[in-house]
Amino acid sequence: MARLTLKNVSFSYVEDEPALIDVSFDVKQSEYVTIIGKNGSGKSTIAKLITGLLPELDNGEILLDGEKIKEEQIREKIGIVFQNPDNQFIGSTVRDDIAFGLENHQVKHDDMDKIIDEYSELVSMKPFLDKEPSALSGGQKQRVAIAGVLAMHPEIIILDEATAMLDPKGKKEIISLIHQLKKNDEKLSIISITHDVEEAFLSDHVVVLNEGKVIYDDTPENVFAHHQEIMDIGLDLPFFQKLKDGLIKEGFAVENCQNLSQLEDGLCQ
Amino acid sequence: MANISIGRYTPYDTFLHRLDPRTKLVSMILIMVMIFFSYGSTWTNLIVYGVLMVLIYILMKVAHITLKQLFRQLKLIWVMMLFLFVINLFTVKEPLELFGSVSFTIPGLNWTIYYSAFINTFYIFVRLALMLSLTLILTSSTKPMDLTYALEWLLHPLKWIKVPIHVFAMTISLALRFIPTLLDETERIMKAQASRGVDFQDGKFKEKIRAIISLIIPLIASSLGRSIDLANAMIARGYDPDKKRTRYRLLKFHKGDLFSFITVIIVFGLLLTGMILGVKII
Repeated sequence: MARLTLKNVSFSYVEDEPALIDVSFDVKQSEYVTIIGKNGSGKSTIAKLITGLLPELDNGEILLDGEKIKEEQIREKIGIVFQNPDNQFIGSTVRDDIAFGLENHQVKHDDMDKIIDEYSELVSMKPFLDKEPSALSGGQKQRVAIAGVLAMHPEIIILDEATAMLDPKGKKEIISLIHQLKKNDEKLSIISITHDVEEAFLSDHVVVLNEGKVIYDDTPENVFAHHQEIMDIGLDLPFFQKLKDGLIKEGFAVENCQNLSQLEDGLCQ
Repeated sequence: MANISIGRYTPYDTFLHRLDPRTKLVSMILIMVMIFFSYGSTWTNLIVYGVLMVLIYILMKVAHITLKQLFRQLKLIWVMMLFLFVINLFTVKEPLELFGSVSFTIPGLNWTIYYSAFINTFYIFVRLALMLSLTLILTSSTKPMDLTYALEWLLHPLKWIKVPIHVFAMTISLALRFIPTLLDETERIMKAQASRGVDFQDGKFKEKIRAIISLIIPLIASSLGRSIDLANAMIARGYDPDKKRTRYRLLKFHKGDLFSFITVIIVFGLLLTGMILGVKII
């Protein structure tokens, strides 16, 4: 069943300049959805709409479990990690930053240390609990942000270009952390808004946006099968897809391969 | 950017560092009031200041603050003191007796200078120096965040007349949190502008102003961007200034706090009575 549904959503920041036009898609329970599109395609607007950070929609509705989403529900069930690691670090130390959300949710003082320990452990930031943000790398700050969000037990996590400002190592860490989170909590839905087609390729479901419209809403295999169209809207193809194309051009029969290991097998036959 | 560390928290583990920030803040205010009292006679004043000076010096030693650090701070007030001294020479005409007379005249200029001009300037200098030492002790032995909590606690009564103290406290703590971030940003913009030919070191006054504008405008623009991001992050994590929040950091009042606080109160009480009764030591 769909947990979160966007139904014909339209939104504009300035009148007559729509940022989103008639956007619809579903996010199921325990699904890992990536939303890709180039700059200005409206990706981040979607994240802000779902988390209630923007005023009313022009049209359409956002539903949680089939019902119109309310402000309190958003704060309770949906967590978001933003792009800039510095600008979302609120506490003076890692410990205080994770505690910030707990204080807002009125968690009792005596329970806080346990929760902070648990979630800092989960994102492997426990040795850094008393460090200040200036002593942490971008990837570490993002992991703290994820811990801060997880500590509030959300059912849906949105990552709004959370890896865009990180170096390749930090990026890798965050993506493997996302996959680990999915394993830990089977009910958790993840919406990742990203530039990174490799990340999208490994997700369950890809939504491609261009100029405020959804042009594909399908599995990664099906989406990236539209090579030319994806390239035309300014996105790259995943490495696997490029390799496969190159091999087909060279006359190898690998058309039916869906991932790198199948490709390997296909070549060895 | 490391030279802005004057008055910054130094992570030692001393008696002063372990004190509750509320004890330190309230004690500091009381001691400052004592410094600004005027006692029975000139000599009494000097003796009280002398004793306070020794006590504050001991506290400085405890908090690992060197006299060098204090002098670095005092440098900032030299010019002000000199200016004040000159003004006092002309204006102060209190008949304060010192060495058997109240004034002396500079021959030839026919200019009478009162001894009280010297004494008054000296008082102000001593008071400022003691105040600076006290703030130095407070800020280097207390984390800025703890100081914010103490301030919030101290201003708590204002809540009864609906002043949003918790919002002020949050604002201060965010400002403190972003100081290093903004310093980094400043450095980055300076480098970026320098690589485009802006000279921050040399040049005429007008050129320097222009160079500084090329730093300030981008800095303000980026700070505004940051503040929007920060506000979004705070809302998304459930922050609502009008709602009740629980607290992660709790302040704890220990035995050492009780001891320090009682000591300060007793000294304060003694000096206050002495002042009211006009007791003269000499």
